[in-house]
Amino acid sequence: MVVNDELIGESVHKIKLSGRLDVAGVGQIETRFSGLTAAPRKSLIVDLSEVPFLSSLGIRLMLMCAKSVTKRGGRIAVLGPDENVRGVLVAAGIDKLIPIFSALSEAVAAVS
Amino acid sequence: MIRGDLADLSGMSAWLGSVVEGFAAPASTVFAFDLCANEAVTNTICHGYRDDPAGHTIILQVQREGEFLSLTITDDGTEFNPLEQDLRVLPADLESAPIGGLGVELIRKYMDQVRYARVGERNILTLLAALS
Repeated sequence: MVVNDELIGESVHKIKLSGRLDVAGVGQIETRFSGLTAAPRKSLIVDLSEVPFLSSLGIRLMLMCAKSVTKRGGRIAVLGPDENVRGVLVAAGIDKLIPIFSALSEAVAAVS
Repeated sequence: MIRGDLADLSGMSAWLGSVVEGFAAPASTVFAFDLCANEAVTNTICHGYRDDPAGHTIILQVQREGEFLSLTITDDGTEFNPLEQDLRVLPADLESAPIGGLGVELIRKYMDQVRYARVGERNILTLLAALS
């Protein structure tokens, strides 16, 4: 799994994950991902456009990070999941907690 | 056939994907089995093998049952029915969202039928999804 960290504008951080978010994938990135979503970052976008698989462990990781972000008054959004991954997010009810966007501009607006 | 080791999961997914595709299943069904097999086997390894993690075997079989494709997961661990885990209530808000336990919820949503049986020294989990 690859993690890419990109600054958009002055304060929006887009974290792009590439690869399967299965047990192995989550294990490879969880430390880095937690670090990249930690304080003082307050505007976060998780780009899942290159993630073909999402398991409950991946959802757990995102939920934990999202909780810590919103607890500090920050905002987080998911960007570009494919049909299958979006299906898992919806099945787990995550779409009601973390907004999902297909367009970067919308995601940026939502977390700014 | 895989060992009771989480490192075997990616090999399992690759094998499962090619087998399910062989039945001319749509991509969404391939994904559904991939997801559910990962969730079920992860649960089995993490919970069922707590007392004795070494030297376990998990066997996966895929076959067609009429209009359904069935995945049978047989393991030789201590008695463990993954379906008995409490059905998690969908998180109403981030504050009260429970961490963990989503695996069974996903299996129930993605599969059309799920069955568990304890036969002799084996746990047998059967997952069925319609082919069309």
